[in-house]
Amino acid sequence: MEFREQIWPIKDRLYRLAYRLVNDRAEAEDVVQEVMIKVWKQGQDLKLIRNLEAWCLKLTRNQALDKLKGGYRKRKTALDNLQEPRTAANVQPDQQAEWQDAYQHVREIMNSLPPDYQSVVQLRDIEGLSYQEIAEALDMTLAQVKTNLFRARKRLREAMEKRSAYGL
Amino acid sequence: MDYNTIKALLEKYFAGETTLIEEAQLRSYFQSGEVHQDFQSYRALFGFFTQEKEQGISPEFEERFVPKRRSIKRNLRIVRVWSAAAAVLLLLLAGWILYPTELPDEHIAAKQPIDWSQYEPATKEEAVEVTKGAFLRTSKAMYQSLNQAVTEVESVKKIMQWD
Amino acid sequence: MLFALGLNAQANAIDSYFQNYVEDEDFTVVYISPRLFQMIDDIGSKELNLDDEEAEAFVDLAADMRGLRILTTDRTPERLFDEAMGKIDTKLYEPLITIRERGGGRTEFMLRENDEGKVGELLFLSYGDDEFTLMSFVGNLELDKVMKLADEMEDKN
Repeated sequence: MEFREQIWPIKDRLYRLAYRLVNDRAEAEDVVQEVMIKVWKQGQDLKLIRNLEAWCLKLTRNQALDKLKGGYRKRKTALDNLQEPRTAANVQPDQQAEWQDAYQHVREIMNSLPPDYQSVVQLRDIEGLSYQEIAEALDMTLAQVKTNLFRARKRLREAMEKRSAYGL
Repeated sequence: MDYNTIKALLEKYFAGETTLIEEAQLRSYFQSGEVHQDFQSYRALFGFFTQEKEQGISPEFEERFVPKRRSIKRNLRIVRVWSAAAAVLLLLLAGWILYPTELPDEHIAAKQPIDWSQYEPATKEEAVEVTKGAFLRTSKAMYQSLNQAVTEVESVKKIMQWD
Repeated sequence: MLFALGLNAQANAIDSYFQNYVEDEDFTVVYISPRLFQMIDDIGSKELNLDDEEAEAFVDLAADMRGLRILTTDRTPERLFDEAMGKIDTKLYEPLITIRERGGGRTEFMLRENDEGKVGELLFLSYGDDEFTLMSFVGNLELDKVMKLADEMEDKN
């Protein structure tokens, strides 16, 4: 009962984290499936977990990292892996392709960061979680979360500015 | 949002000091299509964040758990919980309401009323501080109790009976 | 049948059981009135010195509050705690949580239900090495919101 109501609704969030780390849609779905099965097996013990979402995110991250360790190598993202992106109201159609190109570049920069940096950016800038939630999900101290985030953003900034400088 | 605000927010952002709301404001700004020249280099970054949030698991994923023809939408009572801790207390409260209670009024003996106004803090600031302190202490204690081994919490036994 | 106390018609444990503590010189007594809680609603997060999420949870909870009464003393904490517990009518005030500190000390939470099935009063009793504290939160409270604030304030650590 709890499963359906509490765990199922967060599958997209778990998926996005898994995808961030393994970079393949099918593999990411495998990760989420494996996490859900683990959660299901908890049964009544689920009630004792203080923060269910953080716990699931933690499982997801561990599962994804295991997959990476197990010899599966991150593949470059194929653009057709993505769903149709939302367009801003006043963006011209011909600009869309240009933006996908730009986003692909950002994705590549993200992929070049260590998994911990990627995870904090994912959970903060994309998922909008608080530092405390991120710390629980990634098994870090608050200080580590802040440091990782600071460093990750620093690298992202440098890469974005460099790209601009080259007039791309 | 005006130039100086964005500039300040961006500095704050890269210093790792922004709040969630401020980060949302930045993403919103970069979606607006009216981005100042000086900030163009960050457009793709924030746009990327916005786009990535839209990603979701495929509809076919559900089939891994429930075969397509047997997908049933069950009509279960929705309990809005954001943590297991709240669930524990909500259940307790629900159970507690079932216990017979008498109207409080009849049991409070009439006494000479206390004039509480003399005990109010002198300043608004003091009032806020006192209230914050009281809330903080209360919530800390509640949190602490829920972190304790479950068997130590009397109230949880009541839930087990009632559940 | 409403319990009328002149201007201050709020039923609460302090008025019911602990008038003598209020009158006792050794006790520090503080009262936050409904008017003050109303003011909190108008204060922004900056003035509150909380971050946005905490401020939201705080203001949300404060909106349901009608009064906060705090009594505290450093005199014979354990004895006072036991005495206070003895005075409370547990048919009215349902014990919710008990916390025992390892070094000695205890905290009790008790609830009184109101007509709308919500928490009309949350009573907090606690004693430690050098203090005994009694807090009465009166309002139309939802435990959900208290927990939400607890969660937000936990972020501060």
